[in-house]
Amino acid sequence: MIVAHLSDLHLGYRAYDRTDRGRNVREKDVAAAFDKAVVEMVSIRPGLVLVTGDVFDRPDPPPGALVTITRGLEILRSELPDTPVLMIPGARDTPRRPGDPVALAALDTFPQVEAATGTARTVPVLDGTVQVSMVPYRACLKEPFPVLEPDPRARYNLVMAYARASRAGRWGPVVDPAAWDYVALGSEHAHRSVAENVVYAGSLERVGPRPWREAAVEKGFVVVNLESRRSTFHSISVRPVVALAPIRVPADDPEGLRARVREVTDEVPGGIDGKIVHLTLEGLDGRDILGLQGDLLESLRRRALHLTVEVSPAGGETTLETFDVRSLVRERLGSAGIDPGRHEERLEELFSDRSRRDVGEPS
Amino acid sequence: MRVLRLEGDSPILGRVDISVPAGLVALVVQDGRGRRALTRLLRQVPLTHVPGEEGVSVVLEGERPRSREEAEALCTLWAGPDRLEGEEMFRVLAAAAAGLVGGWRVDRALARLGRGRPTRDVTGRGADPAELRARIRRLEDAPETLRRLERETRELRGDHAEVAGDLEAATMTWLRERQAAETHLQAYRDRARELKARLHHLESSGHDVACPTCGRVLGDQYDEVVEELREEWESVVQDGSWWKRRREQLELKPDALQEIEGRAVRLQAATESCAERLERARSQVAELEDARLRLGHLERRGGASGADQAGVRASPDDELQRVLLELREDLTREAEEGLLERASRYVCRLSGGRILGLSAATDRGFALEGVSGRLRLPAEEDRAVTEVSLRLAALSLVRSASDEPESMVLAGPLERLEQEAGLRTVELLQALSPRFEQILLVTRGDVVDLYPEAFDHVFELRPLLDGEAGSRVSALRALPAGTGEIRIGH
Repeated sequence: MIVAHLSDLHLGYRAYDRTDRGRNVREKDVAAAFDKAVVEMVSIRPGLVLVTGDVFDRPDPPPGALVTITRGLEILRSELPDTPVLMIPGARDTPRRPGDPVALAALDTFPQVEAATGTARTVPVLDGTVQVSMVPYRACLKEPFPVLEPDPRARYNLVMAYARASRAGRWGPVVDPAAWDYVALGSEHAHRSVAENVVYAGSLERVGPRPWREAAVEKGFVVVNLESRRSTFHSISVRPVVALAPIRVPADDPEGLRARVREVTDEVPGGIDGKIVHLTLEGLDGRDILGLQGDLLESLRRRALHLTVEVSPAGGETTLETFDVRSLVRERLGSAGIDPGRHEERLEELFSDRSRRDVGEPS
Repeated sequence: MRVLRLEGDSPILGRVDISVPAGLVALVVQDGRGRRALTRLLRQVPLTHVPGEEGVSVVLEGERPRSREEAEALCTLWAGPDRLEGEEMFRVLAAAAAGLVGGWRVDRALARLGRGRPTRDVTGRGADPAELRARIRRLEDAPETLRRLERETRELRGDHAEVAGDLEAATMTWLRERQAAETHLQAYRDRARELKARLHHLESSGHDVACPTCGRVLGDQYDEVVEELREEWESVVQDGSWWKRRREQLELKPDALQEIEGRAVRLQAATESCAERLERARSQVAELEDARLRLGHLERRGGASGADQAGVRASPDDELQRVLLELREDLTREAEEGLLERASRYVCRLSGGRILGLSAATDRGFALEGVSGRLRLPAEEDRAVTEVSLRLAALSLVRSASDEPESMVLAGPLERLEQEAGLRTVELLQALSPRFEQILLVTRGDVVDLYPEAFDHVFELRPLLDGEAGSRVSALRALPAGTGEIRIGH
């Protein structure tokens, strides 16, 4: 029995204000990643597909996202007519207000699709041989939490949840890995196994305000063989994100800074064209970045899909210091040629911590 | 210090009874008036525990400010300088930052000297005495104008509070009467239906029907009973029609109530306009004092050198004042340096690099620098993202050196940010949140929809109608936030 586990599709995600034929480039990227996953799944021919949350990037997805998901489901329906597709919403595609409908609910009407949108429920699929406990985002937020119990009559018992897995936590529904054949998790964007059969599939694309944090993280989905209990990760090729190693240049050397940036970006294999690029300048002041103003930065920005340059100051961030005001005043009196001793009594009056009358309260 | 509870009666928010937790907290208020009212409420936080302008008291936890000067600096950083932008905001934030790391003691000492701290450079460096005298002449009437406007504002606020009270009372009366009319109408309708059913039963059953009251066969009494029932039914229908007309009359707000509402709105507008003029008058008075101090300083310096030659010394308080003013200016200048550097990094981050950074500009504090050069005409989003960057930079700068502020309130400019900048701001707030016990984000809600997992708590402030009394109640409803947990184990 083969199960395909996808998660965090974030269909409808938009960023960087770059368009291609009227559509946001990143929205197209995310849709393309899902399309590739569908093609891959058709070739793998799983018996069951699980999608664990954040199917859409927002609770009111744009029409393009709905078209993408329905097209994908239609392909799965026609190519894999006996393969159920089970979906739960995550934090992003759950509306703020409990009464508002979840967009996924519309997909529940599709043949072979089950979507659990509000409360947790257990669904028998494939003539009851597989029981899937579906735990959407809201079900893990507050009590009463669902009680998850495998069904001994089923051949396989699975859990799908959008939540953070915790071994030491005191909150949330409990899942004993030994009691389940597979626990499919969503919410984390990097594929990882919490236990042998408790797995985050990770997201299909690098989304979010700082995608370079996942520059080295492969994107894709998980295929698990329930008999052998082995899972494999199937990567999907997506738009490259380049997190360049921080560069150090001396302050007040704009020419040196430009030369170094040129050098580092030229060294990127395949160039920076069309990529999402992040560059950190170390050891500089926030204003030293202005040394990059001009043709070089403009040209790099045109070539990359998006280029972010950030400054990490030398020796950590600048701070203010607290100080002893009275001592400072004495010092300054001395520097002005005035004997601080003349003012000692007055300074005592001026700097004493009096009553709360100072803040307008009765003493 | 952080906010624990808000409780009281606000003319805009209604009855407020809210516990506010620690962490990154979004307070979602759909309408702009409500958001402004809530921000104004929270702005008063560090200064007092007593009901403020909004009639709502704020319960705090933590160390209180030690002086009015410290409280003012804290308030400026806590909730942002009110109605300031650009250079003014920058300077006020820097002065407040310097204030919180010790400058407040200098301010308090100056206040005790009876000399106050002006808002700008008062050592007279680079000032022209003739220009200062001209400015003083121009602003001579400012104190009188300020007193007059203070009086006017107090009166307007008093009137507004009174009319708000009348409005609430009139609204409640209207709602009660409407409710009563509805109740009566329903009762008459039910009675009419019941009587009609009985009549129908009698007429279709004939003379041998049982009496609906005692159960005996009517026989000869049939006609009399039917006649009575019919008369009662007609009477109920007539009375019911009256209540129906009464209910229809009360559907729309009565003229008197609409008139009070109109008065309340006009008074509100007048109060706000007066408050704005009052603020301007205050700035002018501060400018006048500033000019007088600088002129006095210049004259003393010129006078002092002359006096020295004659062997006359300045008074001890004059000496102390000069040293304190110079010290305060140096502290503020140092804070401006630090603020500019940090805000420059933040603005690059929050704008996604559209604004590369901030550079010092002597004529206006700072300038926005883009990829190709200085931004001469910054767009609205650029100004908004700069304001947010300045605020967050000031807060994190002070927090690096001081225990306060432990919390912050962010509102206003966030609503003017474009979507991605809003997301990046929330991401930066997440990064800063370990240093702050509580971050309150007052928002319309868009940014929460886009990034709910960033928040520890999300509450929606919704005015509800307490059906019976018809009074408004503001309730906080918890909405999904953060990421839930699933426990792996036995």
